[in-house]
Amino acid sequence: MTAVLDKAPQPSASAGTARPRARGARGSSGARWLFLPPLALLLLGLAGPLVAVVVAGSEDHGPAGMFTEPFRSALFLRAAWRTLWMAALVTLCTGVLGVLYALALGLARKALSHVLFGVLFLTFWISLLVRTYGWVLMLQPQGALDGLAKTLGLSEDGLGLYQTLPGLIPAMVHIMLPYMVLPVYAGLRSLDPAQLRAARSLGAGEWLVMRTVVLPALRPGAAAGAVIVFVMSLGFFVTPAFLGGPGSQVTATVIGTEFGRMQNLGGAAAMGVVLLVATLGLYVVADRFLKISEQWERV
Amino acid sequence: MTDDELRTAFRRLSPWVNAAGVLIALFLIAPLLAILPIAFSADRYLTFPPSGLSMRWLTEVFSSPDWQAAFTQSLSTAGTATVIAVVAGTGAALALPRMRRGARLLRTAMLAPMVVPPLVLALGLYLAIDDLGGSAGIRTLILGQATLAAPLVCLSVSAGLAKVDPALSRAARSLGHGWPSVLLRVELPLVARSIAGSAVLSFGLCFDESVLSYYLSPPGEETLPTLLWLEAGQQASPAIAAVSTLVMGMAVALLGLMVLLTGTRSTTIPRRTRNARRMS
Repeated sequence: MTAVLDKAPQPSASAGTARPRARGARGSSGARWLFLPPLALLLLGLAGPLVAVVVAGSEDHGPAGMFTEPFRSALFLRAAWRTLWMAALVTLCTGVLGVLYALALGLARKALSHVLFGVLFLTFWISLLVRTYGWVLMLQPQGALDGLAKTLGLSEDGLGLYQTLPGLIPAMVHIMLPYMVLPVYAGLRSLDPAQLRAARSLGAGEWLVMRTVVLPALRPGAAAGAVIVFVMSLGFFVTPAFLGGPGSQVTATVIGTEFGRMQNLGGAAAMGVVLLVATLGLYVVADRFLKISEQWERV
Repeated sequence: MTDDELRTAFRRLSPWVNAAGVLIALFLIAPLLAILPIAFSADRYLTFPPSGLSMRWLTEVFSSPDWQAAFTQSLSTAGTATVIAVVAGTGAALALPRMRRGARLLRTAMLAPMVVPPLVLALGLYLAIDDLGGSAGIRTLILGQATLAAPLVCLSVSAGLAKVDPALSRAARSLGHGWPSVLLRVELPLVARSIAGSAVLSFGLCFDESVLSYYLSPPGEETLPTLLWLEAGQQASPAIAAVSTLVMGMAVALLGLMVLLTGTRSTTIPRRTRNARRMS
């Protein structure tokens, strides 16, 4: 879309040569003034705080020690590993469910498709904290799932999922699913129907068309969704704080404890820098190679 | 690609895909449904399923001064943050197409708050205020929430702007209007719906934002998510489910408002011609 607008001033510039231009179309378009509020907000609300984190993190052990020091703590190291493979697992599950859900959005009859869309947007829009609390009510001892297991005769003394990794993963997938479904669905919408008709008329079965035409077309959207889900899972705090429990801490909950309860701001800042570099670095690299932001602009 | 073409192409496969979709939808809705019976519980403690239904917890929450104060605090915090986010986000959306240099950089920077872990941002805001000799408070929280919400405003106003014919601003400019006049009389009215919709979106985001809230709102000025978080961590009372239900109700109401504000797209065309006529 910006490509269209970027090109737009050209005709006026050629027309402008016939007319005396006051200070040139560039200077008078007001870009400088419009640019000021977002610049001020980004400096005060993003750049300043991030610089403060880096400064506080390097205070105790220097700029290099900032990256090595957190890894000396066995607690942080274990949490970092757990975060990595938890994020990978969440991304994988979200990917599979997200592609299925996006396909269902496209293949379902109008009424069902509307319902599926409604459910997706509702869960996307409702407070993260409230959704996490819903999972607490589902998973906690004598909660909804334990009650269900009892009625079905599966287990008498509860499933014991509360504050364990097997309980945390579904809740994280639940939170992340919309970030996967939306870009995949955008890919599905932009599929060329002529390709489908061609494949069908040449005698390809439904499975073959799905595998060779539809799924490959969904790949860029799925990659964009997967990167966002993975990056967000690395830094995710609210859901692990409620459902992770003391035995299965992730990076963000370790930082949160240092920041809040321990008031160890320097340590929290050093760990925060490690997390920040991992998430932002991954995002920038992925954006460069997979053009994530372009995929997202199509949503 | 229309849905009909997809449906006819996968006539045999679609029942299976639909069934999977319905199951996933149930998975999405289940934790929200788990909250409702507890909110209407008649029991004194959190038990599932509740032994009876009543309105006692909803009325208790409504008459509790703590929850009321937190609700008002959240309204004013989210409202202020929304105003800042809308001004900054709209400014960025309008500036981006006008910029020759730095547009790519601004776009990347504008989307950065979406990938920065909110916990790190909370820590940074806390430390930055500390470095400046102050202490974190509601104003810090407002700044942080506005930063988080501005990208959404920018994206949604940019999308609205993409649908506007750039010839309109050019026409106004060639007729002698300076940029402030073009902005106020042509461009802003044309994207007014997008701005209004993004304001609702931004308000909902700030109202529900919990991580910055939890770490930055000082004791005595807790926002609703902060109080909800503190209470949920401490006690097992159905009151938390009741508040959660109210928060969900508010989210649904905001969603409805957003649909009302942005839904009817057909009105943009008469507006556009009207504006074009007024300029000629």
